[in-house]
Amino acid sequence: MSVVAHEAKESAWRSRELRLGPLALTLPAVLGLIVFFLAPLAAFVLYSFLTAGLFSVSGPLTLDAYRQAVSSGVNGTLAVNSFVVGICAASVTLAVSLPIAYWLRYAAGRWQTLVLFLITSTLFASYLVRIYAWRSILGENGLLNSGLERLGLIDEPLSFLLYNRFSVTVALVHIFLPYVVLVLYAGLQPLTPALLESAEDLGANAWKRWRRVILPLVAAPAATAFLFVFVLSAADYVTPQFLGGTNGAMLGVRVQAAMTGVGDWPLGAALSLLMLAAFVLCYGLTALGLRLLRLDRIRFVT
Amino acid sequence: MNRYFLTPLDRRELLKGGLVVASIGAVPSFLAACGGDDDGGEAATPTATQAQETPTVPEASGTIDYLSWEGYDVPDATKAWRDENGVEFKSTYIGNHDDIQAKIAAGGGSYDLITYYQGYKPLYQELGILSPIDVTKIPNIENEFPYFQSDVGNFWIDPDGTWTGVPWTWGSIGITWDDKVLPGGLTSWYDLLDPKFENKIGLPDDPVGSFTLAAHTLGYDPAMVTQEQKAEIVDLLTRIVKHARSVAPSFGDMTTQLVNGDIVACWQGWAAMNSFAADAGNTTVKTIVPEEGSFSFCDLYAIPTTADNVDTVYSYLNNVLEPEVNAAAAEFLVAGVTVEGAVDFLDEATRSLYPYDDLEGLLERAPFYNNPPVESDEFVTYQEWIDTWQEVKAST
Amino acid sequence: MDARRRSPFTAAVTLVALVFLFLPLVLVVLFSFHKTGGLSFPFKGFSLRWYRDTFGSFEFREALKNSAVVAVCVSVATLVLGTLAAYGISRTTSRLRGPIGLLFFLPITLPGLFIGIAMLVAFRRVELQLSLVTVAIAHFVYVFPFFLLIAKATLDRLDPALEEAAADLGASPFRVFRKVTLPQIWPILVGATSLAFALSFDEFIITFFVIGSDSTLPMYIWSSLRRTIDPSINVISTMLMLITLLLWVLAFVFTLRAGRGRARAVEPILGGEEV
Repeated sequence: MSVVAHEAKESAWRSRELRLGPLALTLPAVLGLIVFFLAPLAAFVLYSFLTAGLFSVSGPLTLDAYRQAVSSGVNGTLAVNSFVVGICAASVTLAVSLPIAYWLRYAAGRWQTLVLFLITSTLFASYLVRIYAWRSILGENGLLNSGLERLGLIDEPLSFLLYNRFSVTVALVHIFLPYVVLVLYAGLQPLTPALLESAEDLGANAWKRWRRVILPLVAAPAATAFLFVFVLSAADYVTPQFLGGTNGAMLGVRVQAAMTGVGDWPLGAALSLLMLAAFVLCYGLTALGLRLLRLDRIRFVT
Repeated sequence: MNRYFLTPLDRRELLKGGLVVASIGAVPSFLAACGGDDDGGEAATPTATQAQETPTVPEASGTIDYLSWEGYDVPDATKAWRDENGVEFKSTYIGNHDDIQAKIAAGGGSYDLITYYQGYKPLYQELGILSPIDVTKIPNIENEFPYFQSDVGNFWIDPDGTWTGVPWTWGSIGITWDDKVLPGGLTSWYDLLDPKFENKIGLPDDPVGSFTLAAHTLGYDPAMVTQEQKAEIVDLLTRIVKHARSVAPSFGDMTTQLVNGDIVACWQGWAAMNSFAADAGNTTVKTIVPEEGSFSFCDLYAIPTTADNVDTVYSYLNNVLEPEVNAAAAEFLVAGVTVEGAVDFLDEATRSLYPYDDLEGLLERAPFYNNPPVESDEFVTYQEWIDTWQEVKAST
Repeated sequence: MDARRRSPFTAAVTLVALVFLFLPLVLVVLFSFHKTGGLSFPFKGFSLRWYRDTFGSFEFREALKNSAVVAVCVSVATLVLGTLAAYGISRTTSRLRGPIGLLFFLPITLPGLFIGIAMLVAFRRVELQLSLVTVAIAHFVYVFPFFLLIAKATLDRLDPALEEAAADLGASPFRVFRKVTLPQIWPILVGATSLAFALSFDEFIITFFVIGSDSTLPMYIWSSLRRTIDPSINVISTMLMLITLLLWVLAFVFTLRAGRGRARAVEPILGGEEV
């Protein structure tokens, strides 16, 4: 009898536990993130509405910081620049990653593991290291120019390779390529050749196969990857400083300067929040777009 | 017309451990102070009375928490003192001068020793960063040139006689170029704007320095710039920026660009770049003060209010003002000495950097200036200029 | 394995991409051995002098030590809290699951710039002094979502029947976790922790804002970058790459093992041993 009671007690507890217990396990992490992530974000939003002092804030709530952020013509130029660089970096990365992901998934055979490892192992290269490494490739006396000159292909070094949007984009692509390849590769996992064959068998032509089977599977990961690269590239503040020259200046640098250089925290916060709002808008539009195009979930051939 | 030339440096074996000292600064108009205040040359020495008390240097021990430019903790020049007293340096190196007040204001660390570029004095006082220095604990202060013991410009001595900084190094800004690429160099700041240098010049991301230099070139005092004058300064700097390859994040970086051949000449260059370049393999980099003159900088050691190992700092400061140590530091930093007796210990290359027999003459062509004021109704303020610089920097 | 298709175009793109990815890194390593101080061609010969210099540098060793200490703390915290959280969120049926999942995922969506300045502002507000502690906190926030995603994905893929069977046989939830779940997922957890360590070790963007007077390795590289560059920066970069590479190999191997090991891990249970 005690055994039965014991079992009954265990089951009752278990069934309750399955609903409440596991959630309790998330508590430490949730608390941690609320305290160290959400609260700072809230403080940060608050700061954008305060009055600026030198590395201090005070007093009445005001929209001064936002006014200052928006009224400066230069911020507009920087924002456009950031946007352009972000789009370019994301586009190029995606365009290059798709063939690679395809090859890895379908054509790699026994090379798959090795190449996958190689590609993702470049993630270990430090972010800062890559940036300055590109300088020694793209500079006047860099690898590219020296090589081209030695091959006799050019007489004068190409000066458009460095200190502009191009070099910034190249470096950003270099940074994000492994991530995007991984994401796309994972996205292609469910898409087995057998699946495509069965779609064909069921009467779908190439266009339909693409539209109904391939695209939905790839669209969400591809859009996510694109957004990821776009947002992180547009907000970058280190690459433009070392590779951007005067042409490739970006908004992130302005934010960083406001926070650590000038000490105008409300301005920094205001600029960042405006950027953030723009990004959220992009996320939202993408999600909406995917849903409208019915690409947000997989619908099989019907 | 008088010209001051900083003679080219031989290749030097810079001790490793600190190359870049991107010393920026607005140097207050010591000349103006000299002319305006008392009389030329003779300046008050409020420390004379202080120093008459028996000077005692406190004992040194423990760790000095240092926050400033890399190299300004002159590890090799002060090695003997460090070893003898068993003192360790825990150094935080800054990327630009504003990092100093940023880090202290943001509440990071308990720094014992900082430097400040004297133009920053009013700002730092306003921020409450500087604590008074008791020079009775630094007997070697008497070794300094009289000029550096005077309260000209109030950069290191307040009007009431309180010391806030100890001058130990200084230099003058000039045009830096690669002589192999551009034999003979340039003689005027405006030469940099020549169309043939399109996309070939460099400048550092130094708001205060650029402002001071532009103001000086146009004939204005950076601490007293009206809005109209500011428009002219913005115009000049915008033209320079548009003409430039990039705005380098640091002097070291600008040197790298020069060495790599990405640029051929620099706005707001600096003699130490000759050494940095030589170390990176390019021995033909030179610097001169052009015909319009430029500005000079003097970096002062200071004790921040966050310091907790003050005695050791006093001992350190006293050591730095020993003639041999001051000379060693100057050689290392490719800069000037503030200690009179140190000139004899300088090697030829460093001694020939600046005309020690006529410092005043040089400082007339390249004065010490003040930064734009923290607050002002009629003149451009510091904050205002920093903000404007962000815009100038981004002009394409 | 699916039949292999031929595709010279994509193979070519992959090859070019590999060259593109590795070229700068190879150059970095190459020039770390440069005999002279230059960083551009021609290459003038090999030497270990920069390695000697760097390892002799007190600042470098300090930065290395600090990075390691922070990374260890962050990894441990992430492992513990992340595993708990992942288990919690994948096994619960509560409606809070969505919002909590979103909270966990949020830091990844924000560029480091924002996280960095938000934390700087917050620390200043509560007057917490910037130091390695604040760096560790910031790293945790940044690294946590990565770990969680991996752990959660793994837990989701497990066959729930095994856990249910164990529970039916009377095992407490803790025992179920220890004897059934953990043996299956521990390689992935090790891999994910390794990744967490690597991410923390290399983090710069957020660290830049919240670091105090101590230095981490990426911060050390940053300040070196502001100097006239000589090969010692290549040395540091090479070291950093090597360390994170080792961690990545570890992560990769363990994750691969997980796939193969899962079957073996649950044998004892199916074989009727006491749970």
